[in-house]
Amino acid sequence: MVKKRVIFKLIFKDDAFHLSRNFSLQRAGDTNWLFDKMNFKKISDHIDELIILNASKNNSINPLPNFFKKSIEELMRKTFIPLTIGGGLTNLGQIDECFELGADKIILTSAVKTCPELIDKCSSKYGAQAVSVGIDFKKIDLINKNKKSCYFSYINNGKDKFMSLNEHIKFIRKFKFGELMMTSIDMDGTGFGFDKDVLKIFDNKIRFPILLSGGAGKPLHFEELIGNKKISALVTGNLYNFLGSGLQTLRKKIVDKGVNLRVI
Amino acid sequence: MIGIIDTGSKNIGSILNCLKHLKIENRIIKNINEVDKKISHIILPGVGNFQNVVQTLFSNNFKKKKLIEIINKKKTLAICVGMQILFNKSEESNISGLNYFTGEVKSLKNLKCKDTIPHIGFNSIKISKKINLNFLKKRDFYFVHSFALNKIDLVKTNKEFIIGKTSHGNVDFISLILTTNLIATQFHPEKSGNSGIELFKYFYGKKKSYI
Repeated sequence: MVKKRVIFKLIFKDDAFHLSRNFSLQRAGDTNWLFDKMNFKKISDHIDELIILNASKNNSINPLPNFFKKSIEELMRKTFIPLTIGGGLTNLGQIDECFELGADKIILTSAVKTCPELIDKCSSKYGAQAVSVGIDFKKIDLINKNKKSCYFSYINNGKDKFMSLNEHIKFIRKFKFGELMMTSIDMDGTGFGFDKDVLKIFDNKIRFPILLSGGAGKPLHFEELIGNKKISALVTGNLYNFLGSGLQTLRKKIVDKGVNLRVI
Repeated sequence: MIGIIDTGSKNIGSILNCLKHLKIENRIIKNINEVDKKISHIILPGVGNFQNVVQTLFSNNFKKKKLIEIINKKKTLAICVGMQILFNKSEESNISGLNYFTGEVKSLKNLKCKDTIPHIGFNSIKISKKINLNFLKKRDFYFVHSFALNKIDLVKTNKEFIIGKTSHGNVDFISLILTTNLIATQFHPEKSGNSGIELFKYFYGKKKSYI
């Protein structure tokens, strides 16, 4: 059986990595900071995949920003783990660049609205396994009789409301893609835990891998969810909460619960 | 020196990084004429689509016969689609492969995989024979694919080999093939952290037969 995955997500903007909270970004540091201050080599030895998202403004140009590329090159020289690149990708030229940088997968989020045809184009060139789709979502309390809350998807770094989450998931199923990363804007960077209620939206017949992101703050958040059959991987970008031997402890706790992770 | 054959797969950067880390001399081979005596080992990488990889090889002058000659003469590591093209054909396209092994690549869906497709993540390998392969012991490797091989035709392939199998969603597929001078993997050693590094060491360091 394929092992469950613990994935780390890094956000890059302009000239540095940033920490994100509810999708607002705070500058953290460059690759040197990541390796010297955060001991990223140790982090990368204890994760199963790395996702790097570019949040720079005007990044819909071809080629990708030089500083973004340079930082990824520096990172990948020191770590030999699977890489997914995303953030504002709008054309095949940029996607070619991502794979040249060593990506195994790319992730398309806003493209679902701006250039949906890119999903299938990319799948036929690189195979569907290399194309992930991302959905950023918020839970919104509706003022109606039932006081039921509803999920909506957002695009453009969480700025623009797009569709109800149900419709969005129905819509993307028209395209060929590998896996789906769900990111909760409400929980992002809070450390309060994943939005596990959102999983109810998927029935048990879903056959593509689902990644859940946003909110991880402590090992318990992983422990209580990673065994869930609907989940293939949990994603965190929370550098400070898993410093030192944090990820080692986290992995041990997950394995102790009887969930298989890769042997390190 | 290792020659990495340009199969049009964009992400050979990760393989280069691994070889650099291991201080193994290498160069990228864009045309078959560049394979000279200095090249003792070759890597046949592959990401993407079966047809794209085969077509890129042919357009770069790597004709079937010539390529098989090279594979027979040197030591070879074939990765992912690089392994799949060693077979006759794939459900992914109509183009035929190198016919080095006999068998057909099938989609995990048609193999009746009951788990998530694509198969993405780390998984283990069970080997068919008792052989001491240290790089495999208690290790997991990284997979990212929707197509796989469930069997090799033993008789027609006419080679001595050992296979490793991996299971996902009730399907046991071939994830590793070892012959005297070839290692083929469905997984990506260049993305498998320390496990992958150990495999590269075995590939380049083993002086005689791989089995």
